Amino acid sequence: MLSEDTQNQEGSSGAEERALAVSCRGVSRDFGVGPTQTRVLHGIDLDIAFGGQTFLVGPSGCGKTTLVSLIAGLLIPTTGRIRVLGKDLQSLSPASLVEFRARNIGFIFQQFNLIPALNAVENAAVPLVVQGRSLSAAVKLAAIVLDRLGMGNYLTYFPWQLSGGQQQRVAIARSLVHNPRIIICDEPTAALDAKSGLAVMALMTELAASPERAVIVVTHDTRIFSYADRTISLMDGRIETSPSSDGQAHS
Amino acid sequence: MWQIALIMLFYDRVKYLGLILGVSISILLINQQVGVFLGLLLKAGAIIRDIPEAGIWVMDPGLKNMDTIFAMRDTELGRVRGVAGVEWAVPYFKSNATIRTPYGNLESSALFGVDDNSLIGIPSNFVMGSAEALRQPEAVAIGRDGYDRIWPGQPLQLGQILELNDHRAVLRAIVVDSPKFTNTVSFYTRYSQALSYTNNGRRQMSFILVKSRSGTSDREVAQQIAKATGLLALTSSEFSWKMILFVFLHTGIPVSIGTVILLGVLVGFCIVGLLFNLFVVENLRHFAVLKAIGTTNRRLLGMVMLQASVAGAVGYGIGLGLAALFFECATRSPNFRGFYLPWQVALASGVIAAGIILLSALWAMRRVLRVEPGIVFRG
Repeated sequence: MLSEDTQNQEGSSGAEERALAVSCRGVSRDFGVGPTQTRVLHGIDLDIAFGGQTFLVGPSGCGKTTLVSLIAGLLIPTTGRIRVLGKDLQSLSPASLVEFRARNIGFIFQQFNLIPALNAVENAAVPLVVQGRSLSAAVKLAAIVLDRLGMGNYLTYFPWQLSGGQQQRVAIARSLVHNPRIIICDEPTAALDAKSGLAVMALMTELAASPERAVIVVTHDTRIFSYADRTISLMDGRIETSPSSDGQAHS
Repeated sequence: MWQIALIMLFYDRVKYLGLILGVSISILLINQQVGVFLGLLLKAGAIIRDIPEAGIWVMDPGLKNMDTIFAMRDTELGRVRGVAGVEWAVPYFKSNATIRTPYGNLESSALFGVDDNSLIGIPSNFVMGSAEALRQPEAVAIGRDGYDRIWPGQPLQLGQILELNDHRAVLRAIVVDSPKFTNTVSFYTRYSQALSYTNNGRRQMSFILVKSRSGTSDREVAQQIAKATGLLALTSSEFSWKMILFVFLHTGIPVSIGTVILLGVLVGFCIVGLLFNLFVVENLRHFAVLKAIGTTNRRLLGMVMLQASVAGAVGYGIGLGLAALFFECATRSPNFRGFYLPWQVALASGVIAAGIILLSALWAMRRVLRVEPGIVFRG
């Protein structure tokens, strides 16, 4: 339960928080139980605004992936509150949380995580199908997005027929097709060569980033740091610095 | 999502075919074995079924089955006829006989002797000849399947001479009779003619066939016959069940066939369960991705159930088709005539297939429910 001070603080800054894409207050997360219990995140305070790309950087094991899992509602914080698009995630029922995620969050994964049984355009269409559209209708919309990503000639190709860069473009299309307001990218270039990685980030900057959208990129790939509009560095489960001018990290 | 579930299922062809194969083998085994078993049970009462006119069968109380008959004295016939409620009673003879085929081979056969006057006991469906033709000296009728065994590949023809227990017999009719349990060639002749072929001593009469008067029940008349004569008198239905019960209790057939059926179910469950579990495990990451993207657990479970159901339905259809094909092809052979696939067995095997699929799906669903969507972030 939040303390009275915290509640007052939240009340005064509620409107401000609701204007943010993501707002974390005192977020901690433990894994394991009893003697094996480990605290991975320690009281994270973090605000992410709309527009541009926010990079979460830090060494392996510092808690980056855990933090984005919490922001995406895939994990529940041990302590603290997380607001995404003004919604307090912990106040949502499990069904509402799934619905919220389906409508508002797009994912891009390190290993692409495309479904091998589906071709490129069907993979890109999955979020729309999840929202209830028919596969044929979803595929039409997904084809448009894939075309914008330069994959118009590969719509019926299966993942195993595509290069790593092409697969990641399909994954980007999948993350954009339902027009989510938040896109979470987990090491989007880690499985790609330098050229493909830079091409993917250029696409992300061009298509994903917009004033109405927040793109959160988890990476430790220094080659792409130049694409960051703001960078938040994590170290041992704590925010270490807030190096960019726009970033609003409180630690 | 249903389309995506099916695309995922059909894409993994090896496992999909394995699932279908597992279900279809199980269904084929169940239907084939149960069909054969029911066919055998029906054969146990084949002789009774071939004489629908007789509502009551009277026999020596020591009778166990159709092959272990304690013959009665002919005087018993008069005693039975004297029981109130009996409209008519005729003798019926059954014995084994050896026949020498035109090719010199010896073949065992079943010889049935029917009442000389009424000819009650002759199957009513004649392929060639007639019941009246049996009134001729040395006349016999043969079952249709037996004809093919004695004269394989030859057209049906009457007037052929046979040696029945070293006695001359002339083929005067060919009848359609029910396949017998022992699958031997069946000959039908008059009672007196049958006795001349066998000469079993003073006790000759295998059964007395009785019809009760109208207005009285077979059961009541049978009880009165038993009371008056000390013989065993059973209605047709009771006698059929006695023969079926003998197969159940005194042969190893139910155990051996039951074991095969059980193995069919177990093999089906093991193959389908393991393969479907493997299918789900290999797709677990994709289910996690769907979870992360916003698919509810309920819908994922629906997808898993749909995948299992489709594989099960296709496997069931193939298995049932193969079983039907077996019966269709096998029953063309006289050795397999009488075996069939009752719709109740097909339906029951469908329930078993559904059970196999449901258990396999439930087993696999646990993993889908437990998978954390967060694993999608792991490299």
